[in-house]
Amino acid sequence: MSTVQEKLTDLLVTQLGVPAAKIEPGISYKDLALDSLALIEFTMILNRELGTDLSDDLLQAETTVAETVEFIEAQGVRA
Amino acid sequence: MSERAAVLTGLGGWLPPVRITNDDLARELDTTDEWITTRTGIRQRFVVPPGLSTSGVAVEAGRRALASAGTGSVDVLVLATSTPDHPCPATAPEVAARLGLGEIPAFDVAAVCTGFVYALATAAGLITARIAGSALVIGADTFSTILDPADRTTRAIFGDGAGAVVLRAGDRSEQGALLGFDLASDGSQSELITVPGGGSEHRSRGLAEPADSYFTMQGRSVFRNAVTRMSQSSRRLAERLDWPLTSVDRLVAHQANIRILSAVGSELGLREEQLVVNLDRVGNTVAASVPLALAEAAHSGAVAPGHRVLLCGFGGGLTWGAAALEFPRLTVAPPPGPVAPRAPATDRATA
Repeated sequence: MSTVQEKLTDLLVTQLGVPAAKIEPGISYKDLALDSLALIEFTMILNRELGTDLSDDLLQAETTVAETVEFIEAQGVRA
Repeated sequence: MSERAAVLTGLGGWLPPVRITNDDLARELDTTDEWITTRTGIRQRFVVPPGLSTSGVAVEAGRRALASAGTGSVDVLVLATSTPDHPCPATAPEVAARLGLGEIPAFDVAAVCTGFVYALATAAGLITARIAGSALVIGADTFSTILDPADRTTRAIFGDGAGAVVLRAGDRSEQGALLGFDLASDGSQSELITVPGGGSEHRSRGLAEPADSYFTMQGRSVFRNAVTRMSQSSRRLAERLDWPLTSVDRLVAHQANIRILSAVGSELGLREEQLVVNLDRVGNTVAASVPLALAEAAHSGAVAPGHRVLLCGFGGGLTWGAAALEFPRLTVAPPPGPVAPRAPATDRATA
């Protein structure tokens, strides 16, 4: 069974073309070179693929992958 | 069994003469060609010179659509715009007069970027209800007149222009018949896309800040709504017509942003060639967007006779909607401006 972190990484790589080698828990979206529109695209992808209800402004440039995992798990999703 | 329908019989578009490239904007604002292109897909846009307003661009597109239809008269004119020449009266009667259309009914429809789809449905309804036998439907906007000159985001996105179609009464079985519409709105999110001032709400409270007369939008929420609403409307209409989405030859969606168009394509599972794109060359032209893209695609052959075509829009209000037709054989002049054909000419039989 995959973890939320693994699922999130998979979606960043397959849907947004982020290099897998760059993704680690402490990295921010800014450092992954995702702009504000990419973050709303990613929010929509997460909501569709994981059944979450993340708000439009939740993910910001400074938000990290680990923080995103916490947001998702706080909504009861375990991947 | 015959069934009266509104049939597309003429199509035309027009762009004003002042071209503004991304490099032109970069000389004036804190932006770059790369920043604009990666975020919007837009490389240039056209704006009106001093003295030319929405009525002027509407007249030019209307003239081209009438020429395409081979007619000089229609029974009604419906103008979609949210940048009318004046708050009062509507701009459509002046456009009708300048086109020499006589004392026909003429009125504006305001649904921002969904305006053309709403106006098309209105005109089609007048024809099927036997109130009119023919109609000129124009989508025209000059958003350059309501943008904050210092706002690098909206100035990069929006351009001016107009697109128009002529409809006539005919039969549902004919090529070009408008086969159905899906229209919707959600006024609880009206603040996402707005010009706050200049209307009765501000005036009734004694507010008159000049800056409130500029157009504003909340990018992220607009992005999400544009993608979900245009996808939802297109899917709903296709299902009602029993058209599998794979059988839709072309989706002419509101040219808001290349990333919105791509996301709509992904949501609907469309192939790249099914999406008509011209925003790289004209920007987001608001109510003109859908008919302008359709005119350009028809001229280049990207939309061809027999193609199943879905038109869809999303805009302030919020409003959204879709329309469907099987594209007819038309003669369409190219919109002015350095606009190159995009896709190879393909008939349905060879597509």
